[in-house]
This record gives sequence, structure tokens and C-alpha cells, in this order.
Amino acid sequence: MTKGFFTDTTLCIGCKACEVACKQWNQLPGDGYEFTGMSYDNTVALGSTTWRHVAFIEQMAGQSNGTSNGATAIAERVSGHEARSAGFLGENRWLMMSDVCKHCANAGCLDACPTGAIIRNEFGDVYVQPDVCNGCGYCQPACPFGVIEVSHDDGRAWKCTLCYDRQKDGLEPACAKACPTQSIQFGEIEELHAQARERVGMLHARGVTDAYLYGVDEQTSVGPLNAFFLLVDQPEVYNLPETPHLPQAKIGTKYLATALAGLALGAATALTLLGGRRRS
Amino acid sequence: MAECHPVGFRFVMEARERGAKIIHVDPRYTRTSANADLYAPIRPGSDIAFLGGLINYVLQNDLWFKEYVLRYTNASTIINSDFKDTEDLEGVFSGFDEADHSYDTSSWTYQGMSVPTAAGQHQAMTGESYSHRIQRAEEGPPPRDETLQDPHCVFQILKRHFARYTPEMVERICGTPQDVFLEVAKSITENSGTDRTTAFCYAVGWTQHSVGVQNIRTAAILQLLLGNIGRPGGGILALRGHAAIQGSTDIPTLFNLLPGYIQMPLEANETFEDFVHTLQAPTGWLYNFPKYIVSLLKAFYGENATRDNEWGYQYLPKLKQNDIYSYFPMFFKMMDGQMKGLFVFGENFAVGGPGSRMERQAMRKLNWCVVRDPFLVETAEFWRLDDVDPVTVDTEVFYMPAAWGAEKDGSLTNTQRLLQWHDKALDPPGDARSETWFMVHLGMRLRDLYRDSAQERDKPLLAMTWDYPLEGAIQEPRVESVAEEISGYRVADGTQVPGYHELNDDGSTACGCWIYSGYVPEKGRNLAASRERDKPGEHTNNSRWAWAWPANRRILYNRASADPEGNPWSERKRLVWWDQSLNDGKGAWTGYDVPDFEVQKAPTADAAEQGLGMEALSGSDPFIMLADGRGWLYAPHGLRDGPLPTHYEPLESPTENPLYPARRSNPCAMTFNRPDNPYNDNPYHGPPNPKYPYALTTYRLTEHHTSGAMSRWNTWLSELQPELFAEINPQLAAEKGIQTGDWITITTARGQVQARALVTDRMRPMRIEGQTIHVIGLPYHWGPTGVVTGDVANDLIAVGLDPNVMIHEAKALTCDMRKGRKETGVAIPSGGPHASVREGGTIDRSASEGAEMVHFDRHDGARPLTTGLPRRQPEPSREVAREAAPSTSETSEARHD
Amino acid sequence: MMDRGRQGRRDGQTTLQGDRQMHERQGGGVAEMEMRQTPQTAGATYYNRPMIKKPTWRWFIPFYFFIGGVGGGVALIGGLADLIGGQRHRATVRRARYIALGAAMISPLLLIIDLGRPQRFHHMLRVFKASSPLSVGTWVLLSFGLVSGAQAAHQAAEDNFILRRESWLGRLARLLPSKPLSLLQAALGVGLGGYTGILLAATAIPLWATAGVLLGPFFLATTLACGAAALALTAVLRRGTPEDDKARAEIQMVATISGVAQIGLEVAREAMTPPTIGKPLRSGTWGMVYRIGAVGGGMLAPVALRLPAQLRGRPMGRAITVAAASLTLAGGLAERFAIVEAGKQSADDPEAYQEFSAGQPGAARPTPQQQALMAPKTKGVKARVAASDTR
Ligand SMILES: Nc1nc2c(c(=O)[nH]1)N[C@H]1C(S)=C(S)[C@@H](COP(=O)(O)OP(=O)(O)OC[C@H]3O[C@@H](n4cnc5c(=O)[nH]c(N)nc54)[C@H](O)[C@@H]3O)O[C@H]1N2
Ligand SMILES: Nc1nc2c(c(=O)[nH]1)N[C@H]1C(S)=C(S)[C@@H](COP(=O)(O)OP(=O)(O)OC[C@H]3O[C@@H](n4cnc5c(=O)[nH]c(N)nc54)[C@H](O)[C@@H]3O)O[C@H]1N2
Ligand code: SF4
Ligand code: SF4
Ligand code: SF4
Ligand code: SF4
Ligand code: SF4
Ligand SMILES: [Mo]
Repeated sequence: MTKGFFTDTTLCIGCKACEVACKQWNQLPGDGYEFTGMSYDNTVALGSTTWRHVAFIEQMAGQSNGTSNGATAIAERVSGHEARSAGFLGENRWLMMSDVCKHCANAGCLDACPTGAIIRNEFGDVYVQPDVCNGCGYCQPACPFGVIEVSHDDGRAWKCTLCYDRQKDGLEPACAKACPTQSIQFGEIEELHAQARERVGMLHARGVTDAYLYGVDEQTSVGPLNAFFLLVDQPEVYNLPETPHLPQAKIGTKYLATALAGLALGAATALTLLGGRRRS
Repeated sequence: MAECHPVGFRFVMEARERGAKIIHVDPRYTRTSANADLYAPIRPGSDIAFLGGLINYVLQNDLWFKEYVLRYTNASTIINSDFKDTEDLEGVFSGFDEADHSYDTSSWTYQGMSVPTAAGQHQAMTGESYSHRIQRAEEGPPPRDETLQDPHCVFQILKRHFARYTPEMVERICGTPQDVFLEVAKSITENSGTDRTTAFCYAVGWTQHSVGVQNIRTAAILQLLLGNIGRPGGGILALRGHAAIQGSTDIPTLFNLLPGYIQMPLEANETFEDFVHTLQAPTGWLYNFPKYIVSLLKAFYGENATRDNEWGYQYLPKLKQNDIYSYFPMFFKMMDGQMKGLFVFGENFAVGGPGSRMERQAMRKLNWCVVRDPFLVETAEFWRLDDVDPVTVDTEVFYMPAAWGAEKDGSLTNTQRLLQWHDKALDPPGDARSETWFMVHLGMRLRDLYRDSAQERDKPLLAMTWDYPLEGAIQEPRVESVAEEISGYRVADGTQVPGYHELNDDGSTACGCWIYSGYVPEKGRNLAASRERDKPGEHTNNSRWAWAWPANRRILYNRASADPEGNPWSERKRLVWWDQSLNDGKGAWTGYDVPDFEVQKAPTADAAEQGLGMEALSGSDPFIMLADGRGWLYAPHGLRDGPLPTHYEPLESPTENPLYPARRSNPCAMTFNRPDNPYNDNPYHGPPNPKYPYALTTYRLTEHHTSGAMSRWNTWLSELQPELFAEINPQLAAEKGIQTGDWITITTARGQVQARALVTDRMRPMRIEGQTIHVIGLPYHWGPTGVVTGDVANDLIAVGLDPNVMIHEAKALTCDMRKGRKETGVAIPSGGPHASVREGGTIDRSASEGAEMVHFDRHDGARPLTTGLPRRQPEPSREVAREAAPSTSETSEARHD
Repeated sequence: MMDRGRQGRRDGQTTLQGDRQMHERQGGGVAEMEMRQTPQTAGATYYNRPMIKKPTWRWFIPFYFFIGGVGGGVALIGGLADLIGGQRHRATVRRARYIALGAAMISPLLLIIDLGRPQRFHHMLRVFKASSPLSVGTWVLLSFGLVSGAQAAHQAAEDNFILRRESWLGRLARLLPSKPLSLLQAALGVGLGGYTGILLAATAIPLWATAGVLLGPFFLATTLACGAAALALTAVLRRGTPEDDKARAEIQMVATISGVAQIGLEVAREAMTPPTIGKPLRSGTWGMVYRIGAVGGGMLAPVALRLPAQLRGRPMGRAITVAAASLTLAGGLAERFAIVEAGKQSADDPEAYQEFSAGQPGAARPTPQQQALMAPKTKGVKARVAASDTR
């Protein structure tokens, strides 16, 4: 019984209610007050005090300094004007995407954690136990999505809990609850997968032929993501890796290589020391 | 809509998912555009041209809904032959008085008859009463030409009036590419008719103009022509602002209205009879007016309202002719020393009011002012802003902490006229009190002070009923008793009336607001608190989810959802219909909504030739609030600036008016040519001033709320949009060497404002009359105090108003812009000094000789001021906060699910 | 002063300023940055923001990598010397045991100081996780500390140094099975010297994870080189017998062997690292530290210094010994710092991470079109938006 999120970016209106609801429920401090100029995104990235983050990507037709948006969706309806109009994910797009911890099936942060603070809970989600974490910070570079972060102030690592506390009380996560458009859907992961696959079909039928699921059917070492996404552009556009790698995927080889190197260097050393004795 | 009504927008998204086409018309590509199927850019202030273009498209291509228009609108009605259109008179209608910037409207009427409007300021401003004038409508229906051929019939007038609004003209005026415009036109017309309907949603992008009312009128004409009014999925939906702003117009906080859109009496209405005579429509529903006003006065004055004393009519204050106490004129009165004191309840115009610098200055001329607000807003701190020396300010300021929404019971009336009751979650802290508490106790104390007064002027105060039960330690008035009074009761036994049908004009009933009548049909049964949805398969428009005024009706004028014979126009659009089998075979109106019609009046019923009230309307006249029962394509009465909308440029415009070179702007617009309110150019017909070459528009962001009083203190919201910025297009940015993040300064005749530049392709240069016009977008949420601060956008705006409802023109003006910070450097007062006041001091005498700040505290420290925890948070607070948080959220959770 | 917006936040990642700095760091000038007209998806990065998070580690960690490395290296040499080095290496063994203890005592301190919650350091001992090199390393370090303590105690007792030989503690210490413990210590030395490389390699940081399989061996080689250098350097301090000289020469030889291993592994690592990813170790400040300090000064130079004498089988001059050993140690230090810091830069560089995580398009994930074909057929085309809050 794994619970997770299906975040459908084609339903996102960029209201940031999820971001605020998460902060409120989890009583997270603000990140500071700074105008970034990154479209309407002023909180920039997921981090220790931002567990939901809404990304804004402007892709306007005839953009003065941008790439073409790669949208093959709803064909160009209107052409030859300074201001174009083709709408819903057509040639003018302002993509909005609410990012969150992926609660990876194979989670780099979890595998990296030396204290066992990070666990997979009964809902199948990746949870950091704040009373265990000692802030070693190793989970931070071990997350292939740049999610978990050690707080400067508090010294511990924080990230989305998938509202473990709310789930325990049978409530849906605060962000999903707050989302006015069901861009964030919470539920049983199998059901969400089915729903999401269906949604991809619908969107393609409607001409949004860029739509695809990220984190469901790929063959990557992180496995399926318990928080997965429906996107309409390359993952990089949303600051997601094309192919995430589980950092510990080939750790056995690394141990082995090091052990062999140890043997080799040890043998060489021994020979050197030994050789000396024979000669003496 | 996605920006400002994100929760409402979910229904738009749902509609989109079900196949509806979403069109967004806006000068800026916003979050709404991003989710729309079609985005049409438009230059600020040119909507009449755009909508007029649509009307012309409908008329030229014969796409109007024939039967609907013919039977349900005044298309066939013949207009006075004296009437001259703007097309005849180069930009003005007949009757224009150049000196007074106003119209004599007598030539606009139906041929030979004056027709009253349902509501409007007209009477208050002109003193004209309908029934006193020329002919009375009850003498028979207005003359009509059902063939629509008569050159004086509305249809022909309309056709001529809009003939010049071609797609080319739309492009010239609005900058909307023709093919985009045509795509909009095609989409809308294809989606209207018996089987389909189109809805228009608007908010202040349409209203905040010197032609605000006419903007809406244009949409109304279009929707009537397409048959989209009174039908499911149709209509023109005003997306209102604050949580209960609809409620505060229904039970108004306006100078010229009494509850239920009853106009405030004028001095000219010397007797109650005069007053009734002025407002009672001889035909249509408002013939019932006396019942509502008598019941209102009974609610106001109880036993002190008798037939003998004109139901206490003389206790009501009377307005002087043309003496306007509307919001903006009020400040000029303050400025000129005519207004000495001011109560401010939950408003922060020191930041939120267009012309805010002037408004702050005006407040410094007051003797006293009371500000009730949960936050120490700029409006309570005007005495130390703008670098003034507090010593020079003589105003005595009383700051009273107000209770928050969650700290009081009551109802909010939302944008769809739904009254939704909410329960108090916790007691207000410290000295904070609800508005009800404040008003009731203030009333009690005043009555006590004047108890023994024999003065005539004190009589109204002593005559009013003021007996709300008080409860609990803080003696909070029982709001339910207010609700019961609003809903109405029988005077004899105090039982509740079930609705306005049972109100009488003989003093036997009392009702605080007739349109709200029936929402508490029995004591203890508050329908606004009901939260029940339709069961699967049930169709009542969720009628048991809260309560909509009037009469829990969800769609107004829904008689129009059936054809003249009473059958649904189509199965798909079935809403209300005539069912002959009901009522013992005599038939009745029934359906999914409460019929907006006399339930037993058959569709075939004829209008009584000389009838009064509803008798004068036939069974197929759906618009019962109008005296002729027809939707008004042409408004013969009620508007100051013309019976038809016509395109005028904003008062400050970067371009000429190609339709009427001699009449650039609305000739009736209300302007205030004063040194404290300078305009960028001559507002009525000056040529554009090259000093201010750019178009400027102001608006909101999802992340903040209006003046920012409620969001700029909130960490979680402030971090999302921390600084004032201006959106500019890359072309303009390149011309000026500006990049995202740079400071820019925007200047008007009123002052300058500095902001960060956000260079974005969502803003596009527009081609207007062969000339490139750059639109600059400026959100208006920042001010001098808060966890984030910034310049006040409203310091840039002049007061120039729509003549009908006196709304400001904050959506379209002109400006100059340059790179760099403003000249005065950092003239924004910092958020510093008041911190000490907030910490709990009662009286801040830092400015001892001058302004005196009497400060009552909420006694809950920083609670209302910053919701987020401080950035550096000690561990325990996290745990404590976590423990505290679930309990409150749980309650709201339970309610929502 | 109203210019609050320009202040850094989150280590300058998030400011325009920070953006500019980062841009400069990555070799682009401010001028190039200025050309970025609009905040768009230039290229396909998210406003050139990092895609992953760099570690929060302060200087303690690379310094620990160095200290721990020296400890591991001396332990390996000392252990083996004890087992097979014979009498000649008694002094080596003795020094090794003391140095190892010193390293084993400083290392945890460095690690603990760097924790976000130092008082919770013992939480590391709640679990053992092979998937976490840090967990493995913790246990290695702990065991290393215990063994080194035991060995040092044994040594001290034998040396009658601090621990009196005949005191009961001294006797007890001398009872410790020092030969098996030497083997263990040597093995733990390998672990200590190598795990740090795996620790870095088992992250998402492109610079570390690419050629990650070499990082353990590489770190180990440096460890050994530094251990040998430390022993050589300390040996120089005493005027010794020919036996001592011989022992010293052997240790010099170990240093050279590991130096050659270092060079070989570095060449392989470079070869396996694409330019975008390897950038921070090739250019910029840390690139210079690495190239000149770590590789040039720490690997090539010592080998070059020692080799002539060693090839000719001649005893090495003292100056050369000191110079080579110091260079190796300084180089080791530079290497640890450069790799950690360059790794942080690489974490901040979205292009590096994109290169690292690039797949064959469509290889890992079905394309939109494939996904559409896979989608189950539906009746309608609608998603529930408004009416779905029945939960
Ligand atoms: N998050 C949030 N929600 C709010 C509020 C808030 O402050 N924050 N305020 C509430 C209040 S009080 C109100 S009144 C409503 C207002 O709700 P809206 O009317 O939606 O608010 P605005 O952003 O002021 O203006 C809407 C749009 O009008 C566009 N516009 C400007 N000029 C013109 C024009 O001439 N023609 C057309 N067609 N469009 C134009 C602007 O670009 C802007 O996108 O929102 C309410 N909801
Ligand atoms: N340039 C420009 N100017 C505009 C507009 C624009 O689009 N452009 N829009 C205009 C519009 S539509 C509006 S509505 C105005 C809004 O302007 P204001 O109404 O002046 O602004 P708000 O910040 O909403 O102020 C509401 C105040 O009520 C307080 N409050 C909240 N709840 C309570 C309560 O229960 N009791 C009491 N006593 N106080 C409470 C809040 O703390 C806040 O200070 O701005 C107008 N000004
Ligand atoms: S996204 Fe990162 S933080 Fe979240 S579970 Fe996966 S590895 Fe851990
Ligand atoms: S910082 Fe905390 S959660 Fe992250 S790896 Fe270390 S102990 Fe585990
Ligand atoms: S699930 Fe809970 S913790 Fe995670 S992002 Fe949503 S609200 Fe925040
Ligand atoms: S709450 Fe929903 S719609 Fe709003 S930003 Fe978050 S995901 Fe998007
Ligand atoms: S603030 Fe309230 S009224 Fe406005 S959109 Fe949100 S829920 Fe609706
Ligand atoms: Mo508003």
C-alpha cells in the first residue's frame, strides 16, 4: 500500500497554494525576501524550508531570446503577428509545475543516511525522523533530485514528509488539499498510475502531444517515483534530470574496486618491505 | 481569474476539461492566459471597442438569437425620435451639456415614456423621479416594431451605433490582431444559441475605468443578443473582490444606498410619499417597493416607526442634490476641511486607494480618525509617512485592533450572491473586537450619552431599535439576532417571515434587507449555514448549499432559460420550465432552480393593458426587475453617460480616439482638476502628452492581497513576491537598456515610483494606429510597512472617475519610465519605528505634540502580524507549533470534507 | 540599503548576484551574463540554477579526508611492517602506531564538529548500512580508533612511554595480541583510506560520481602515499643506523609506488570524465590547486624527485626526502580540498548534471508518443478538477 502524488502540470495554475499550505502545516520558516526575476518564482528551489516549490517557465512564441518551446501541441492557430494567442499549451506557454520530493522507490537519501534517520514508512514514503537525524549532511548530495537539504539554522535535514502526520490521521497531505485544481492528486500509487496513464491518453487525444509521465515507466536505478509528474517539455526545463541515477546503484563495484586496490597496494607495500628483508 | 480567484478558477478548469473553450482577454499574458485556450491581447481601456466589435460581428453576420432577442429584449422598442447617437453628434449623445459635462437624458427615453431602472445612481444624482415624468409606463407597453425595421427601434439604432466597430477598427484601437479577434468572435457565436451558452467573467479589468459601467453594459448587450442571460452556463459574472464585498453592496457601505439597493432619500424627497413615489416602479416587480421600504424602516425604528410618523422616514438623513460623499470626493472634502472625522473599518487606502499620496495628505487634515484593523496598517500611520514631521500633524488617531474572520460568527456573501455562514473558531485576543461588537457598543454608548437629549437631531439615534442581546465575557452581540432582523420577522409575534413575498407595507413586518429575506426562515434555522450537496442524479443547483439571494435563486432571470412558450430552449440547457400538469392542471413554473417569475403565471399570459406591477408584464417578459420586463439592449434610463456604450479613450491615454477625434475621453467622466490631483494631460480632449508616452496598468498578484496589509506581514506570502516590480516587454527594455532585476522609475504628474524590472515576453508591444505602444504592468500591493516593503503604486494614479458609480480609473493611464532609482533616493519610510508600538504599548507619544496615537493592542504579540515563524527558529517552537497547528486545521478540515 | 534584494541567501544560490557569481565561476564573464535579456528557459536549464544540492561540508571534512588518509596510510604500512618488516622496521611500526592513534583521535573530532547536531554524533552507531559509505566509514573509523588505541597502548607500554611498562595497565596492554591486531589495523587502514573515495563517488555529484569506481582506489593511493610520506618525514628526524636507512628507503619506495598508482588512476579518471563535468578540476581556482598542487606538486614532483635515486639504488638525500615527503603530503591535502570544492562547483552546474544524467532520449523513459499508445482507452476526455474533493 504505497501512497504518493501525481502532479499534473497541465492543471497547475501557479497559485502556490500548495507551497503555502505546506509551510503552514509544517510551520516552516520563510526563505528570505528576494526578487529573483525568475518569472514569478521567488523561492527558487526545494530545500530545507521549502518542501513544495512551484516552478515558472515562460515559453512565449517568438520569444526574443529563448529556444522554441518544442510544443507540437495544438497547432499554430494564429500566425504572423507580434502578439500571438494560441492557447492551452499551444505555442504560448507559461509552464507551471509544483515540485516536491519524489519519494523514490530506491531513494538515494535513504541509502546514504548513516544514522537510519531516513526510513520508508508504512505508507511507502521516505521520511526523515527529526529526532534521529544528526545533520551529517550526507543525504543532501545523495539525492539525485536536489531535494533534501540540511537547514543552516536547525542543523538537521528536512524535506517533504508526504504529510506523514496527516496520513496517519487519515487526512490527505496539506498541499494536495489546498490545490484548487487537482494538479496535485494524492492517493494509492497504483491507482494514480492508472489515472495518469489515462490522462496522457486524453491529452494526446486533445492535441497536447507533448504530454508524458515522468517517474512511472522508466528504467532507471531510482525506480518509480512515488511522487511523479505529467510534463509537457523536457525534464531539464523543469529542473529535473533526464535519467536520474541512484548514487548507490553500483556501490558494490566501488567497494570491490577499492578492496582490490587495497590488496594490490598492500601487496606492493608488503613486497617492498619484504624484499628489503630478503636482501638484508 | 486564475490570478485573483484561483479557487473559483477550478470550475473554469473543470469546464475546460469537459470541453469548454476558455478565452482570456487581457493586456498581459497572465496565469489565466496560460490556462486558456485562446489569449487575446488588448490595450488597457479599449474593451468597449473590443466588445462593440463583437456586437457588430453578431449583427452584421446575423448571428443573434432571433426569438430570444425579439421576445425577451427591448430590440423592437421605438425610441424617441429626438434621440441622436454619438455617431450623429461626433462623440456625444443628444442632450449633452458641455459646461456641466452631463446629459439631459429626456431624449433617450422610449417613445413617449419614461422608464424606471431597477437600481442606479441616476435618481440620486439628478433628482429625477420616474413617475413624475411625462408619461407613465402603466398606461400601456412601450411602442414596438416587431419587424425591427423602424429606424428608431432599438435594433436599428444598435446596428448603426456599432457599425464602425469592424475587426479593422478593433485592431486599430485595441491592438488585438484581427484574426485573433475573429477567432474570439467565432468561438463565442458558435457557442451560443439554443443548445449552448457562453459566460463572461470580469472583474476590475473592466470596471476600473472612466467607462467602467459602460464596459459591463457592452457585455450585457452582447449576451442579450446571443441569448446568454438567465440561462445555465450563461451570464455576466462579476468576480468580486474581498470576501464579503458583495455583501457590503447588498447591505451597503455606500453613501447613496440603503440595504437591498434602495436609494438613499434626497432632500428633495420631502415626505415619505415623495420618496416612495420617486422610487416605486409602476410596472414590474419593483412596484412592490413600498413593502420593502416600510419593512426596512420597521426594522430600523421598531415601535418608533408608525404610519403617523411616515414610518420614521424623517429619521433618515437626506442627501443634498449632487453632493457626493462617495469614496474619492470624500478625500477632497477632507482636504478642503469640510470633513473633520473619519472611521476606517478594514480598509487601507493609504496604500490601496488610487491617488494614495493625496489621500494620506487629506487624512492629515482631519481632527480625528478611528482605524479598526487587525494590522497596524499604513492608514493608521499616515501621520508619520511621506517624511512628514508628526509634530505638524494634528490628527488624533485611534487605532483599534479588529477581530479576524475566524474570531467571529457571521456570514459572507460571495461573488455568486451566496450567503455562507461561518462560525467563530476562537475568541479574539486582547482588545480586539468584532465590527458588530464595536458598532453595537458604540451605538449603546452614544444612546446613553444622548439619552436625555430633546434635540431634533438626536432623535434618530434614540428612535432606532438597538436591542441586540449581548453574550459572554466581552458582551459580544448575538450575530444571529442581526441575521434574524435582516431576514425579516412579523412584528406582532416576532416570528420569522419565509421570504420577501410576505413583506407588507402596513408595518406588520420588519426586514433589514428585502433581498436577503428568508435566509433565516425560522429562529434557529439559518440556511446560510447549510452545507448539503445535491445527491447523485439530483438537480437543484446544490440549493441546500448555503443560500443565495434572492429567494435562494441561483440564476437570475431564469425565466429566460425557457422559450416564450415555457419549454426549455433545448434539453441540454434545461433549467426552469412551465409544467402544465402541476398545480391541479393549472400549471406552474418548475425546474432545477427557484423560478425567477410568478410561479403560477402562465407563459401565455398577456400583459394587462393598463396593469400595475407584475400585471403589466406578460408571461414571456422574463426581466421582471425592469419596468417593461425586457432585457435592455438600449438603456433608456439610469446611466449618466449614454444609453449605449461607445468607445472613449481613458482619461489619460497615449493615443487619440480614432472614432471621435474631437472626443477623446468619456465626456461625462468625473474629474477633479485641482493642484493636489494633477492629470498628465487634459482629461477630456487634450492630445496625448508626449512626456508620458507609455500605457500603465495596475493589477494584483495571486501572492498578495490588495493593499498588502494582510499579506505583507505574512512571511509565507511575502517571500513569494517580495518586491514591487514592473512588467515590461523586451523591446522596451532593450530600448532603455533595462534588464530583469534592474531598478526602474515610473513617473506621472502625481509622482514617481521605483520598482524592479521584470522583463518578460508575456508583455508585448502593441500596434495602435500604426504606432507602437508599450504597456507597463505594475502590481499595487506594496507600501512602506510590513516584512516586505516597497513604493506605493497608487501614488502614481490620479482621481478620475466613472460618472455612474464613481469608480476610479486605475487600469489605464499614462506614464514615463526610465532606468534607475527614483530621484529622491530612498524616500520610502522604513518599517522601523512602529515596532515599539506593536509590542504592546498603549499610547505612543513619540510624536507627543502632534499626532497622537491611541493604540489598543491585540495582546497576542506578533500573532496577527507575522504568521510565519522567524527564520532562525529555536527547536521547541517547532514542536510547539506542530502541536498547535493540527487542532485548528482539523476543524476546517472537518468542515470541508 | 533598501537593496535587501541583493543580499545572498542560501549560499548565494538564489540571488541575481549569486547567479552572476556562479556564472563567472563557470567561466562566463559578467558581460555574457548581461546578455541574458529575459528570464527565460535559455538553453534548457531552469534559470541556470543548480539541479542538485552540494554538500554543506565545511573545511573539516576535506581536512579529515586528509588526516584520516594519513592515519590509514601509516596504519597500512605500519601493520605490514610489523608483520613482515622485521626488526629493521620497529621504529616504523612504533611511529606508525602513534601517528595512527593521533589521526584516529583527531578524525572523529573533525567529523563531529561538522555535524549539524554534534551532540547526536552517536546516532551514527544506531545502524550499520553497507549502502551508506558513511555508515561503513563510521564503523571503520570506530574500529580503527579502537585498534589504533590498543596498538598504541601496546607500543607505549613496550616503550615505557606514558604507560609504565610494569604498571598493571602496561602489562595488560602488552598482553594484547599485537600481530593479529596489526593485520586488522592494516586492513582498517585500507578501509579508512578508501571509503572516503567511495563516500564521494556514491553521490549524485557529477564530478565525483563519474569515474566513481576509481575514486576509492585513487583516494587509497593518495592515502598510502601520504602515509609513506608521513613515515618518511618522521624518520628523517632521527639520525639512524644503515638499517634505519634501509627501512626509510623501503618506505620511500612505497611512497613512489603509490605515487605512480596515483598518477595512473588520475590519468584514468581524467580520461573517463567528460569536459563539462571535469571542468572544475581543470580550470578555475580549485582546478589550479588540483592541477598544480595536487597532481603536479603532490604526485609528479615527488615521484620525479625520488625516482632518480631509487632507480640508481642510491640512498636518498635528506633534502630530497623531506621535499618529496612534504610535497606528497601537501599534495594530498590539496587533492582532498580540491576534489571536495570542485565537487561543490560541479553540483552547482546544471549543465554538468545534465550531462551526467543524460540518457539516450527515450531509452529510459517511453516517449510521449509511446506513452500515448500505452494509455488505456477512456470514455471521456476530462479530468476531474472541481468535483473531486470528496475525500
Ligand atoms: N490573490 C488575490 N486575489 C484577489 C485580490 C488580491 O489582491 N489578491 N483582490 C480581490 C479584489 S478586492 C478584487 S476587486 C478582485 C479583482 O480581480 P481582478 O479584476 O482579476 O484583478 P486585477 O489583477 O486588478 O485585474 C485583472 C486583470 O485586468 C487586466 N486589465 C487591465 N486593464 C485592462 C483592460 O482595460 N481591459 C481588460 N480586459 N483587462 C485589463 C490586468 O492586466 C489584470 O490581469 O480580486 C480579488 N481577489
Ligand atoms: N492601482 C490600483 N488600486 C486599486 C485597485 C487596482 O486594481 N489598482 N483595486 C481597488 C480595489 S478593487 C480594492 S477592493 C481596493 C482594496 O483596497 P483596501 O480595501 O484598502 O485594501 P485591503 O488591503 O484589502 O484592506 C483591507 C483591510 O481590512 C483588514 N481586515 C481584514 N479583516 C478584517 C476584519 O474582519 N475587520 C476589520 N476591521 N478589518 C479587517 C485588513 O487587515 C486590511 O488592512 O483597492 C483598490 N485600489
Ligand atoms: S527525491 Fe531525493 S530526497 Fe526525495 S526520496 Fe528521492 S532521494 Fe530522497
Ligand atoms: S543529515 Fe540526517 S537524514 Fe541526512 S544523512 Fe545525515 S543523519 Fe541522515
Ligand atoms: S505532502 Fe505535506 S510535507 Fe510534503 S509537500 Fe505536501 S504539504 Fe508539504
Ligand atoms: S496548488 Fe495546485 S494549482 Fe496551485 S500552484 Fe500548487 S499545484 Fe499548481
Ligand atoms: S482567497 Fe478565498 S475567495 Fe479568494 S480565491 Fe481564495 S478561497 Fe476564494
Ligand atoms: Mo476589489
